[in-house]
Amino acid sequence: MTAALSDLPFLNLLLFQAAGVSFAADLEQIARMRDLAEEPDRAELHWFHEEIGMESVEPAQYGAPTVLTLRSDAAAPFRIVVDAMEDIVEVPIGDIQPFPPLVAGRALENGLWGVIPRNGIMILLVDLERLAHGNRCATRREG
Amino acid sequence: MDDDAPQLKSDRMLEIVKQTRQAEQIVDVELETVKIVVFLCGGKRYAFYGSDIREILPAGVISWVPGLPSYLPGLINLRGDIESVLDLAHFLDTPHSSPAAPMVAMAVKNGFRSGILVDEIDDVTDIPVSAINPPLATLSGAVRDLVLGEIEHQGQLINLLDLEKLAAKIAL
Repeated sequence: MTAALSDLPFLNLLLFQAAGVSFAADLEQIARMRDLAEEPDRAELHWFHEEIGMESVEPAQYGAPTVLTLRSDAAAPFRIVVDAMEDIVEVPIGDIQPFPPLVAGRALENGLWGVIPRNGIMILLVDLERLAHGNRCATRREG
Repeated sequence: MDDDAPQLKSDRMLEIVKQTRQAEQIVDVELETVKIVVFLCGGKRYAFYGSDIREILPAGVISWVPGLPSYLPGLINLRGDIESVLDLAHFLDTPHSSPAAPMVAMAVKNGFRSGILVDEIDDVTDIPVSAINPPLATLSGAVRDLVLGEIEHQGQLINLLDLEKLAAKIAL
C-alpha cells in the first residue's frame, strides 16, 4: 500500500544560499560545520559554487563561508565550503517536489534532486553525497 | 394562386437566398476547425495548436537553477506544482526582447511538458484546418526546423510551430 504524502517522514535540512539562490542539504549527511576561518586544514577543500556549476561566482563573494564535512568512513572525508547558512528546518518529505522532466537529468548531474517551494521562493535540494561522489569520479578520471 | 402565373421576383430572390444559406450551412458543417494560440516572440508572430497549450499565464518569477542550458531559464511555481520554463527565442534564433509582461504558455503533448516563454499572447482563435498551408519551401533559418505550416492571421502570414519538433530538438 502506498503511504499518503502526509504520512511520510520528515527531513532535517540545512538551508543556505549561494549567489542569491537558496539551497538545502540533508543534515544527516553532515558530520561537522565550521567557519572557514577556523578550519585548520585548507587543502582539498571544495567550493560549493564550483561543484554545483555556478561558474560566475567567486570565493571572495562568500559573506560567511562555512566548511561542511560530510559524514564518511573515509580517512579524508569530503569537505565543502558553503555560504550564508540560514537555518535548520524540519520539512515533511511530502513538501518536496521532483524537478520537472526537462530539467531533472541536468539538475541531477549537479547533485540537485528536488525542490521545496517555500515562502514564495524555491529551495533547491542538493545531495552532498552525490556531489562528493561525482567529484571523486572526476578526480579519478583526471588521474 | 395560379401555377402558371409568373413567379414574383421576390420569390425568386428568396429562393436564391435560401439556397445560398443552405449551401453555407453545409460548408459550415463540413469545415473542420482547429484552435490556435498566436503569440509574439522576438518581435515576430508565431502560433501553436491550442490543443498543445494547457494554459497561459504571466511569467512572474522564474527561479534560476544552476547548470541548466541557456534555453532553460528556470522553474515556475504553477499553483504549487513546479514546472520548467523553456525560452522559445533560443530555438527561433530571434533576438531576445525585453517584453514588459512576458507570458508562459504551458505546453503538454506526448510526454513533453514545459512552460514556454514568449513575449506576448496575441490571440486565441479557431481557424479552418484547410487554412493551414505547407511551410514555404524557401523558409530558412532555425524556424524551418520547427514549422508545421503557414497560416494567414489578420492579414499576416505566420508560422504554425510543431511542439513535437521542438521537443525533439531538446532531446537531441
